[in-house]
Amino acid sequence: MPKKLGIVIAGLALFLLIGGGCTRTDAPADVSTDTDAPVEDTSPIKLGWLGPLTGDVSSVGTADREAAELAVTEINEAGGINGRMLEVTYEDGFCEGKTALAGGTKLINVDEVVAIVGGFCSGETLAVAPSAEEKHVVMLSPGSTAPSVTEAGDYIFRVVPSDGFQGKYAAEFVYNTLEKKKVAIVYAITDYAEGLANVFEEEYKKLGGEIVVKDSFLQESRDLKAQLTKVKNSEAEVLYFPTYTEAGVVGFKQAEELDLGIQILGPETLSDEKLVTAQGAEGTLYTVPVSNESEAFKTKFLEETGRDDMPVYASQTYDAVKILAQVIESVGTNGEDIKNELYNVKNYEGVSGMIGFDENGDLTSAEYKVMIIKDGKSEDYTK
Amino acid sequence: MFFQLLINGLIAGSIYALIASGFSIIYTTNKFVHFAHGSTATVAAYFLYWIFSNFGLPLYLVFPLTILIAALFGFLVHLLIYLPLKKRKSSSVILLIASLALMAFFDNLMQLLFGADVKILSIFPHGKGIEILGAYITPIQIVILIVVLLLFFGLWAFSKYSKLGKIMRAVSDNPELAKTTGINSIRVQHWSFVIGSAIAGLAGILIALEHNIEPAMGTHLMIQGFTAAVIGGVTSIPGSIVGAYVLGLTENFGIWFLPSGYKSAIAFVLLLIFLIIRPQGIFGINQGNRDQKM
Repeated sequence: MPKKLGIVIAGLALFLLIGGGCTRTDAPADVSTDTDAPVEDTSPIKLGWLGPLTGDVSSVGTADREAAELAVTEINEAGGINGRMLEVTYEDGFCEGKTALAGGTKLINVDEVVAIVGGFCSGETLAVAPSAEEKHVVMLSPGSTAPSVTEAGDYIFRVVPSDGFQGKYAAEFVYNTLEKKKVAIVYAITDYAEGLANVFEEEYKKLGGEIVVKDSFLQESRDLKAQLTKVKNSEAEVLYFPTYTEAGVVGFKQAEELDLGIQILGPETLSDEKLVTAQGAEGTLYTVPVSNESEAFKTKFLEETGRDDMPVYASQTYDAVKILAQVIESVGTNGEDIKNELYNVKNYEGVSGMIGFDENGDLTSAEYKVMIIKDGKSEDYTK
Repeated sequence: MFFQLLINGLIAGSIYALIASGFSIIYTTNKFVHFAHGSTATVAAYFLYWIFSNFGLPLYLVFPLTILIAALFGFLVHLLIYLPLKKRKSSSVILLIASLALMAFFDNLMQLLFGADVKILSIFPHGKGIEILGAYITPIQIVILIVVLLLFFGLWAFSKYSKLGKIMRAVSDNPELAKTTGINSIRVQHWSFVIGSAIAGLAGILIALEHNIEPAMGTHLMIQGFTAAVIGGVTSIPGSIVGAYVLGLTENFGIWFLPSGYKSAIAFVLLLIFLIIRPQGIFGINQGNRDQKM
């Protein structure tokens, strides 16, 4: 008897699956008839959001989701886009390619979003980019800084500067300002951290510095003692440490336990509250893009979300949603039109600063500064 | 550098051993792969975090309570999930699938309850480690080493001399035969879940102090723990602890020659070598039984 029941259930499931496929193929036909009569269209405009909601980096991802929600609420309270409400589907990208691809493909093919805010992590953006290119869906990333995103495609934009700038800035800072000539690099094996590590290495060598150790770790690793032991036994005077939050927290702790005793420098991910307050973080330096972040937005965001600290790239996420809304308002929901219009954005006054895109969809300018972690807080570094 | 790598390897091995030994206890009497064993450690760690940050109970109460909760958790998982399946004569593959489902369920439940971000327990004052022969080790790491050492001898003596330990070995050798001699094998299986999960609770506490707390901590560790148990011989409890040290030391000394990114690759190459050359593990002798049941 149970066997028979199993067959019946399997049959039903199969039927449902086939049925599901049918409704999906019907959907595009509806959309095309909608665009014939845009005046009467009051259906919501769908955007997608892709970023880490679980796993490593999820503390930043969930905070930036709140920034996106804030922007959406404001747009809808002001009457939406040409009378149509804005609706965002949030998908988890787990800060890695495989999961992001599943989420991104769903956004593009099933939810049929007009554009995607994200991916957040570089690995997410790079994984989804080919599908987005093929289906003419614009991706506007608030946090993917890997240099390789520049060449990811015509439909791929970002409101953060490429790490080509940041890695170079960090290398120059170590060589010229700190005047250290021997550096160890330990990075997480991710598109983001590896991109930074490579740019740093290249630029630092160009300046005449020496990389004495270059080693890596898996993003989900919680034991960096082996790598740090290698660094400690080298002649390195500075450790360049591009990482995400979770591995960074244990990395700082283990560096202190092993009495590493050299200056640690990292990228903007170190600004996460969990890292700033982590054991062993004291005295660590990190580079951040100089954002002319609007104080008014900061106050509003902290008030709305009840948070104490501004998460990294929250203002960029907010800007990304607002820019897309503005572009859709003027050119409609066609992917190609949105893409072309985005290239015309040159002087958008966002809450994260002035935004303009170059021919690669990258920001036209980037400025950085160095922060230092002191007494569990970040402040501007002065030599 | 040699001493630091040796100590790093021993610490890593101890952490794997904490997971592997409990896993092995459950495996010997139940003969199926309880992958959700790692989740027991996760649940214990979150319980510790919750009770510590909300109630301010003294530590001598908090730690035993956490271990107790882990033991209860293991017992309930066996009673409510595995036992009904066993009564229906489900194969060990079905039980394995159930354990994978449980693992995913509890990892996600912890994430739902506590959020996905890493939780940091600052119970003990921290700072630079103690220097021994040019290598550094922290007090918590020393505690972990000692606890695992005690666990090793305790479990060895338990399975060799105590009545329950002997019964467990009997059930492990042949559950049907044990039943005919009047041993209540279900009761023994219950006990193995209680003891194994209590060890996972202990592991949860120590790992929370050493590596912080996050929803996927148990799953990551389970992979290493399982590998360690296979290397040492799944059916041998002290063997699984030895296997854990073999794994921890190989990983850490391996990076002397290879980039550290290969650390996990080393672990799995070791696992494959053992599966092919010595499938019963270092201490396992029960080859026939293993082939039948796994």
